[in-house]
This record gives sequence, structure tokens and C-alpha cells, in this order.
Amino acid sequence: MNCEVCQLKELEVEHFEIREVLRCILHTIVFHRALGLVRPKDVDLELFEITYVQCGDVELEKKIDEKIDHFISWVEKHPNKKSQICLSFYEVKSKQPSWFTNKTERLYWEQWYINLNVTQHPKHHSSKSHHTKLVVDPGESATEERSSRRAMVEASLREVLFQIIKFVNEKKDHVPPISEGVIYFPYEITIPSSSDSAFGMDMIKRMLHSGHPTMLS
Amino acid sequence: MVQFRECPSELENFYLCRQSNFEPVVIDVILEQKPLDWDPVTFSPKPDLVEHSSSKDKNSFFWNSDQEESGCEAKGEKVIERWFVQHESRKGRDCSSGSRRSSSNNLSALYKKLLLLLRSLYVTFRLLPAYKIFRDLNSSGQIRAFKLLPRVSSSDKSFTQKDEAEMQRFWFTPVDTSCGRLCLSVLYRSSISDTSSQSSTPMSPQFIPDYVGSPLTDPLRRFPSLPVSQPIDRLQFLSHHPQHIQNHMLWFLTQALAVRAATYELTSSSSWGISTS
Repeated sequence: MNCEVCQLKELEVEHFEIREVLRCILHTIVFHRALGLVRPKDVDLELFEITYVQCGDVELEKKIDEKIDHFISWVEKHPNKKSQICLSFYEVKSKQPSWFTNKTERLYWEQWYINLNVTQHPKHHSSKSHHTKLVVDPGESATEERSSRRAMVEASLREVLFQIIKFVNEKKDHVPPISEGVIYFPYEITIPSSSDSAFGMDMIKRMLHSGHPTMLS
Repeated sequence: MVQFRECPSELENFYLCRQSNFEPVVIDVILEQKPLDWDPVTFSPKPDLVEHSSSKDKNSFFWNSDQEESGCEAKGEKVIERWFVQHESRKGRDCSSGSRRSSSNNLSALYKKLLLLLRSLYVTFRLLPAYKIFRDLNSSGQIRAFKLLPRVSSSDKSFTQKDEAEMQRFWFTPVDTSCGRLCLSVLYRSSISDTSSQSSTPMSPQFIPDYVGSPLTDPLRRFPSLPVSQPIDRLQFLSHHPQHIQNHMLWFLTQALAVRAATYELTSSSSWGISTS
């Protein structure tokens, strides 16, 4: 079976936007892959004028939020860095047990890479500064800039959601058959972690190949 | 033929009149600006406007049905979404061919693909600009100067060049069936002028002595807010709940899924029920 990979367009977000953006994207993908009986729940983003759909499963919501929390902790330790979250769907296959291998293995059939560039928004100088030049109304321009930036992020997020919809529509053959009584295909969410040996190994491989450290891509 | 339940009368009539299941279904979501002389309390045209109207009946203020034949948008109407649903037949192929096992496998694969299509439809509805208007209409406590209307037909009336320039198209990947393929696409306005700035009238609190169920009323009494000759049907309801338009589109696909999902162990070699004419 093919493993289809979708690299989502990179989003430039600020720290406080991470949670909403990730919830929106992760839940949208999972909703397209929860082919059992679900009770869709519309969720309005607070920061953007976008409504996305959740599966209405409290456990799923909790698992996704936990992963997002871990990611946010990682971002706080690695500020101003590009990062990637991988949502993978797999099938569990049993295989011949041996001394060195497990009885089951995971066959990944789909991987989604969510690319984020978390930036710190530059703060405007205080008007109390001695060296500040006369500014007519710094507050107003800051507000305009903020809302213009917000509109750009919203448009980019919308593009990502359409990218998900297109991918789901274009590639259907690799999706495993639906099993009766099963709501979700098994999935895992991988986030970068400085303590993750697998992540570290991947970095070393990239360094050997490219000669300089790069993030997952 | 796929049967429908709880279908609005317009959609039901439309399907009864269809010559064939291969005709496209075109569903327009229309943003209608109410006439200026509109009584916000009774939702009806003011009497002097009705007297001066031409041969149009009162209903044309609601549906502009006479404009439909001319193929152009009536004044104050704007098509903000146009959905195309069509099953294209595959000529020269026997739909009933294939073994029982392959037929069953094909059905389960088809079910999966239609389900994926349904999921992406569900998400797409909420991303299109009309959804925001729908939410505004439903959440606001004010009477708006516009409303959303459905229009179902089998012909694709062309837009003006200006309108086309404002619209974007999104194609859903066609789903192969045993007799052809199911095609779905939408043409939508990528931006709609801010309807929240449209004039609106706040609903003034009024004591309604003759509310439905009131001991003062005759339970069979008709209320003057709607034309007496027009039965209160689902189409009226739809104008205030455009999400039901989307639900019925989904119902079209859902019905097909429900019928076949219950017959996985298909014994006959009949084709998928979408096109059986």
C-alpha cells in the first residue's frame, strides 16, 4: 500500500495563535478520516472568522489538546523556529514474531505535515521613550498592522483547509476499507522534541546528507 | 430511483419533472435584497407597492419565479453560490456486468469514496462566504434587509462577465460509479459585500396577543404575515434556514449511501442506484 504524503503550506503564526490554528487543522484532517459514526460539531475560531468541524468526541479532543500543549512547550524552548507536526494514519499488521522484532508493525498509509513558522511579533516602542520621534498616532497604525496581519493569517489558514479538502478528494484509493464499528483509523501525532531520540537521529541523518542542520521537511 | 424523505416541495417537484437521472441538478443560493418599501414587522410588501406592481403576483417578492424563465437575476438578487450535481453516464458499458464478489467489493469502495466526498462537502460548506451570512441571519436579533433563498433547476444560467470575475470554482474529484461518475462542483463568490452594514431594523418588543396556542385564537386561523394563498411550505422555511439547502444536497448523497450501505451482501448484480433509468 502507498503511503500518501501531504505537505501543507507553511503558516506564519504568533505564539498565541498556535493553539487555535493547530486545533483547526488537526481536527479537520481527523474529521476526514473518521469514517465511522460521528456527531459533527461546528467550532468557531475566536481569532479568525473560520468555522471548522470536530468529530464530537471528547477523548479525541483531549488527545489532540495534549499534543498541542507539548508542542507549545517545545516552541517556548525553541523560539523563532520553523517547526513541523506530523499526523500519521496507519494500519496495524501482525507479523512473524522474532527475537528482535515485535509481533505487530505499523504500516503507515498517510502522513500529513503541518508546517508552522512561529514568530514573535515586534513590539512598538513606547511613546514615553526619550528618543522617540514624533508619531501622530502609533496606536492606530499598530492596530491596522495587526488586523492586516490577522487577515493574512486567516487567508492562509483557509488555503490550508482547502488544501486538505483537495487532497482528500484527489487521493482516495489508498484509504483502507472501512471496518464495521470502527470510528477512527489508528493515528499518531508526532511533534519535534529535543529529547526524542528518533527526532535526533533524523537530524543527524540530515546533517550528514546536507552538511547543515535543517528542520524536517 | 433514489427516494427522498422530508424533501422540500420544490426539490420534490423538481425530481418528479426530471426527464432523466442524467440531467444536472443546479442549486443556487441567492442573496436577495428586500425591496425598500418593506414592512419589517409583517414581512410583506406595503399595500401601495402591491397595488402598483405589474402582473407579478405577491409571491414574486419572495421567489421571483417569473424571473427564472428569463434566465437573469432579478433586481436585488445575487447568486452567491451555484452547486452543480450530475451523474455522467459511461456509454457503451454494461452496468450490470461483473461477478457478485467484485460487485460487492466495488460497492464498499464506492461507499468509502462517497463518504469521503460527503465529509469534505460538510467542511467546505462552512468555509464558503455564504455560511457567514447564514450565521448572521440566524444569530442576529435584528430584521435584516436581505435573505437567502434557494433555487433548484436543471439548467446552468450563465453569469455576466462582471459576476464571473467575482466568482471562484471548486471541483470535487468525481467519484466513479458502475455506470459512470458522480460530479460535483461549486461556483461561489469569493467575497460578498459586508451584509452586516446593510440597513436593518431592530425588532421592537411587542406584545403579541394572538400567538399560536393562545386561548384567544382560533387554532385554525391563518396569520396575516404570509400571503393567504401560499401554503406554508418548506421552501419558506428554507429561506430562513439555508443550511437546510445544504442538508438536502447532502441528503441526496446520504440517501444513496444509506440504501447501499444496508445492502453490502448484494445478491443481484444491479447497478448502483443513482442512475437506474
